[in-house]
Amino acid sequence: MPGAGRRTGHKTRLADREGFLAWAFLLPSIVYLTALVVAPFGLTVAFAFSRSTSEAPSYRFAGLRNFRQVFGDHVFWRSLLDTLALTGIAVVLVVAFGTVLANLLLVDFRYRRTVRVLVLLPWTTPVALSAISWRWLLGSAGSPVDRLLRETSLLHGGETPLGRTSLAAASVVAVHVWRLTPLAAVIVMAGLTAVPRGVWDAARLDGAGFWRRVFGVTIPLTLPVTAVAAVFTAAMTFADMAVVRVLTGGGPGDSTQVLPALAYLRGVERGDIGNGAAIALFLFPLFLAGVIVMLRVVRRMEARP
Amino acid sequence: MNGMAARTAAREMGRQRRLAAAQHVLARVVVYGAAVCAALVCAAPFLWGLVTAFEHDANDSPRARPGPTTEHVRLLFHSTPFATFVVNTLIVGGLVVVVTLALALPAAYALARLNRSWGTRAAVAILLVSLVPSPLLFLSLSRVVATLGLADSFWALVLVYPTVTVPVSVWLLAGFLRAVPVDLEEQAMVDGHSRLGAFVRVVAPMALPGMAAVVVLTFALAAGEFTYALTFVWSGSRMPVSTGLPGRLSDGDPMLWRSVQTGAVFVALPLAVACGLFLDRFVAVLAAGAGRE
Repeated sequence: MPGAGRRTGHKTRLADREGFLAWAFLLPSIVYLTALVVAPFGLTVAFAFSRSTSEAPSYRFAGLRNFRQVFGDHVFWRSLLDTLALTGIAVVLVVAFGTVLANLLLVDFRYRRTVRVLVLLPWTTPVALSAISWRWLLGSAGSPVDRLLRETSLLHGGETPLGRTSLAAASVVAVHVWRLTPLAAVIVMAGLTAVPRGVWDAARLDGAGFWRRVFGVTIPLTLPVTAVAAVFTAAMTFADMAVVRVLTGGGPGDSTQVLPALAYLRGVERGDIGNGAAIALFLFPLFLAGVIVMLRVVRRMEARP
Repeated sequence: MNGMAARTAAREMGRQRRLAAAQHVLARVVVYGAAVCAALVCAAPFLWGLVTAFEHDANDSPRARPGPTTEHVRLLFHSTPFATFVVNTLIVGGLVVVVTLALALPAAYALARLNRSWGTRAAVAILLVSLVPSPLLFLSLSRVVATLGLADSFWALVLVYPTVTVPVSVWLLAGFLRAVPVDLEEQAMVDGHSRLGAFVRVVAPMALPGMAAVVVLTFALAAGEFTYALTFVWSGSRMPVSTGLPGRLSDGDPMLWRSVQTGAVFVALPLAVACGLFLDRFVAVLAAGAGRE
């Protein structure tokens, strides 16, 4: 190291001491994230065991009252099941479509730039605005989707797709899959470009066919990055309330309600902070599952030679 | 005899060449077909939105002139506070970008270059923060915001949005900083700069293209956030576009529907174009991360 001798002479200067700089550089972010993520999470847990409302926000311990209330609420159970089903289905579809899209975006073709911008639209557009556009495409009379559903007699009379439980639920899933597939594709693309070209070619020379190379080389090597894409997809699906709020309003009835939107309805609109916090806490196991998968991926990547 | 063998060989070669050519054409057809499908599906709601933005309403008077109309665009700007929403989003987004860079750039440098034994653990912890779902925090953060006197103000969003943008930015910036050659930094220190000086004068300027990418992504994240915006800001004139525009649907009259969806298209297109400029950079930095260890 050419500068080593010179640097030892400056060791006393604070601006040269790596240990000090590392702390000084990281500390603001750590303090900020602790104050506005870690501490508020603790506060949410505390609220879940409290009688706090928006009129009387001061803390009064209530034991398990909120949880008893929540367990007796059929809308909660409906929302919990919807959230789990939505997340599961979305992850599977997004990973599948995202992998196909990633491979497509890596191929060279004319107008590739235009296609890339159009493909990014679902990811970069604010979710709530995408939901407006989808509601306009799905829910308004005379739109292509409306006409298609009528011609195939899936829809009759004055019905709209968003007014029928099954179609409304399918729409919520579709919009989530649509908006998260490009993000998954970008993550998988990164994984694909990191696979050394030589490995693929060597497998070909060894006589491995196309599918053998896909299942024997590409998938094992991109598995960690695919897991990362799946975790982010799940995290962004179960935490989102914009799609349901704007697209279906949780309806028809409460048939497409999800936990985040319900926590908002109870905690903010009804002002029952304790009840809302108790509902929101049921997202914590999902978050924890994501953390465990991520930690396994990290450990695997560290173990790699 | 010999000539016949040669002819057979030539015919066989020609056949194989034609087969290869046909395979190539087929592959191209598949690629273009898939590309057109992907683009159409991804752009579908906005394409339909763009078409209908300039269409007459079905229940307009039959005397309405044929051809496109700009009536809905006019209504969007005159009967809804769309312009105010957009300005609010630009201000919040701009301030969030500044705060995010100020926090994330030094943190990223610490993780990328100042090799500490706890470096990897800190990096993983920061990444995990980006998985924390906002519904776990919005009720308690709204108490925090109220206590600080920021309720119903976009300053609440400036305070809270970096919780979403900092973790992502730290990771991407660390990737961009790692791509700056270590030699340059050491040369700067040989030339008499301190470690801090080398970072500020040599490394940071080299990472400017990466920072531009992070700026665009941070802005897009801030513009797209919904839960906090809905909880912390409830006066129409202070809302960002992500909650303001959908809010017009619940209390606006149905005649505004066409104008509101036009507004969604107007926001979607420039954001996608801006992010599209940096796509290759995101992929490159993520790929470097995926293949690092």
